[in-house]
Amino acid sequence: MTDSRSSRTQGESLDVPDGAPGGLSVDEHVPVLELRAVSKRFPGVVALDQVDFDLYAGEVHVLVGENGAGKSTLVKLLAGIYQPDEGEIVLDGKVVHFNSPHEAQSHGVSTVHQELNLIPHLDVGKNIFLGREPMRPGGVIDWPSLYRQSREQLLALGINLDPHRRVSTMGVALQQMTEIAKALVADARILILDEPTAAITAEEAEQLFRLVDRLRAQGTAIILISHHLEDATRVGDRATVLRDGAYVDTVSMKSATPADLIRMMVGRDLEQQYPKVEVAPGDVALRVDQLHREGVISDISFEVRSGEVVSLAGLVGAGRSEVARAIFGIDAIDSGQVWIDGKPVKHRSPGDAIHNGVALLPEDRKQQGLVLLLAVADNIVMAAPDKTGSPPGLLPPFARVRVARKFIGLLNIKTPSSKQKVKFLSGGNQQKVVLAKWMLSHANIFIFDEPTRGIDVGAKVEVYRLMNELLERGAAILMISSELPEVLGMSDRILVMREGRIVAEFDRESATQEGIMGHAAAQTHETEEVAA
Amino acid sequence: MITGSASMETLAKAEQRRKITFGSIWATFGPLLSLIILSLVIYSQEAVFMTGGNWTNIARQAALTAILGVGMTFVILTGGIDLSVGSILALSAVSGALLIDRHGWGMEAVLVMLGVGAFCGMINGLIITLGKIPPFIVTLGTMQIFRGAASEITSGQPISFLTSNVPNFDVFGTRKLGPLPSPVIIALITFLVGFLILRYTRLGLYVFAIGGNETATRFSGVHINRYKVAVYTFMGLCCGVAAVMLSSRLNSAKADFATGEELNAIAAVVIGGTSLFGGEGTVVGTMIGALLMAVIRNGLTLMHISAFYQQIVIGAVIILAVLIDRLRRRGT
Repeated sequence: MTDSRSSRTQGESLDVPDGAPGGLSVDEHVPVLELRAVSKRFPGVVALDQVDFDLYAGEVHVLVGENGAGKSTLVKLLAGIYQPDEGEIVLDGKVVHFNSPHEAQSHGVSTVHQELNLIPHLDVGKNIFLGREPMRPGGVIDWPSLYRQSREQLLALGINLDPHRRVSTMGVALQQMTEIAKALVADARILILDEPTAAITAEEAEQLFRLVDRLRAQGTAIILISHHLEDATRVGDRATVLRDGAYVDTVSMKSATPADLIRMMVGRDLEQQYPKVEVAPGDVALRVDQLHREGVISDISFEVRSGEVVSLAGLVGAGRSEVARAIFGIDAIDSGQVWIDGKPVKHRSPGDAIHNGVALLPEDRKQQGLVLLLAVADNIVMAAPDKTGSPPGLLPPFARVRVARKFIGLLNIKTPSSKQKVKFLSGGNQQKVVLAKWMLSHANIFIFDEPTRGIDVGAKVEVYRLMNELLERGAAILMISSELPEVLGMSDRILVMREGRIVAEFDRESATQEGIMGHAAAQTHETEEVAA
Repeated sequence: MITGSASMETLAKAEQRRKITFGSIWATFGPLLSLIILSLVIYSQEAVFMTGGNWTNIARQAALTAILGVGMTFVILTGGIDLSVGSILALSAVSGALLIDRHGWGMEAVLVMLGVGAFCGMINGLIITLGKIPPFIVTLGTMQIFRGAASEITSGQPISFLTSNVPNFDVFGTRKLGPLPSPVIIALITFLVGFLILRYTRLGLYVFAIGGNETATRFSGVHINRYKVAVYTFMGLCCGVAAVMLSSRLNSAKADFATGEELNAIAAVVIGGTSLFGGEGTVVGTMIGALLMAVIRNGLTLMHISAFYQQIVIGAVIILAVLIDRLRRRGT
């Protein structure tokens, strides 16, 4: 606590409550929060199945699990965004129902979501006190008090940040801390941090954890969601593991190792999970040479042979999707050259790229890959209507259905009919529809951006099998993935990106999680102004 | 536990299928059902409502809104809007009429009306796509521009007695083919063209796709701008068709033709169940929407209820239609 005092820059008199009520320990008998046999279903998928969870004051309880394990659903139940179908949420021994995010907050449960909820055009202080501005008599906002209290709250958290600074000028790490300050101003007793380390550097994460340590000492109960297991080891008191929506176990982090957690998370060995086939690589299908887009990517050069999976690994914001967008003709490049099958090409639009046999399966399937309101058949024929055998300009329903049926059978797409709207399909089947679209367009170079995001574990394996089939037909695959096990399990070669550049390359044999992360999250030159 | 979650899954799916069915039934038959019920209610009050003569009258009154509504359905399906259709109609009508009146043109003037309409629509489309300006703003501007141009070239004077120069000019407005007045036939043809385009062509698919998710459509290699320009051009062409019909029916053309008619067209589309956010809707619904508004006007007139009340009722129907639509969508 005294450390924060020394970082004070202004000579204002501070009235920071010295926080820590003290004496709180993990062993207190009554949990502040309890979930009892909570279930949540969505059409076609059981997101949470009879999950138990408890949380004590002054504890950091980590939720771990693979994508699709149910972590986000659990958070949304606690944040009042979803309501459980079964089971109950118990707060201080009393059953509660959060019908809205507002109700959750008024019960002292605040969530810092992965997508931050600050208003970018307002400054830090206004964001912190949004909706609870200090008032003078007569309904006038007491601005000096608002900024003074903001500064105090930030300093109490060990953050030396000017409350007059506009949020849009700050990095993710500082925005996160502003959100935490906002939650504490709203009297949060339970703080939920959803993937706080996903988009920040290792150094920033360490600053965040010091803040978490401080809050824990003050008696705040904290739920931390992370797929970085090191986070659990660093700050976690206990960890609860979810798998496929079901509760696996809760363990003390004093005794559990990351390896234990992985075993519980995966529940099966890697062989089964990543059925990689070796295909003898053919000719170079895609070559990019010194791609450059000012401020986004620079000096990107690599090649992908047919029959080969090359992965771009790295943190969110490292420029991986931007490489894909440049190759696919979405964003213009400032310099550099793309070669396809040995010929130089210039892609001014996705149409050009598709014409040259390139396909993009985008990261955000629902926003970029599919028209959810349209039928399966309509989505499949969209990129290559001329391949349906229809006369120019025409596209009669029977031609769409005929082509769609072929792919529904070929890719085993589970849908009641080819006329079903895509929004009613599960994530895995939606991804297959996107793939069918590109198979119809006779693509040979497939860019998979986060190929299994939001897809059930069982269906993931199906996606990998389809990737294998593409390879066996001579396709080349460029994969972008934030899931290291997936990268390690499916790639022939791995390129690590950081700050828009390729900083390391591994082949299948030499790649390790630690090696990749070491390069991906290496210390950066820019440091945010976060006080220690 | 495996069987447990599996049965939950089937349950969830069955539930979802039931909801879809209810939703799609309402989408298809809701406006039609409203039309039938409303007709029966009016019939119970005024027997003359259910005569062939009266229905011919209603259809003739609905024709203008229906013709513009077909184009407007396309525009709204892409997530756009066109406020300039009344002005385009007026500019098309006076352009053709001027050629007939002052330059001795014959039936070729009809092609000029169609051409001017399509051209104005294309200008809307080009400004929207190349200038990246929201359709609402662009057409709010061109609404003034086209109306002003129509007034300027006619000096604000009506151009009358077109049939004295072109005796057959009344063929599009006042003649009949069997029991059907020519405006109704023109409306039916326009509807059929719109229906076939939406169902059987690439343009049709892309109209829905652009409105449903423009980004995903662009990422599928579709040249969005080209199709948007095509859609606004088609809207303009519909205005040209309506201009021919209206100037033929009134045997004249005037710069203040069809003032506010864009709002009727939008209302028909919305009552017909097309989402203002784009991506979902049908021209069949729009036809029913246009008919529904004509029935309300006709029925209230027969019941001797003032035109001011008619306005209030139509306004309420528009809001009600969208409200029902919203509730239906929330259900799925």
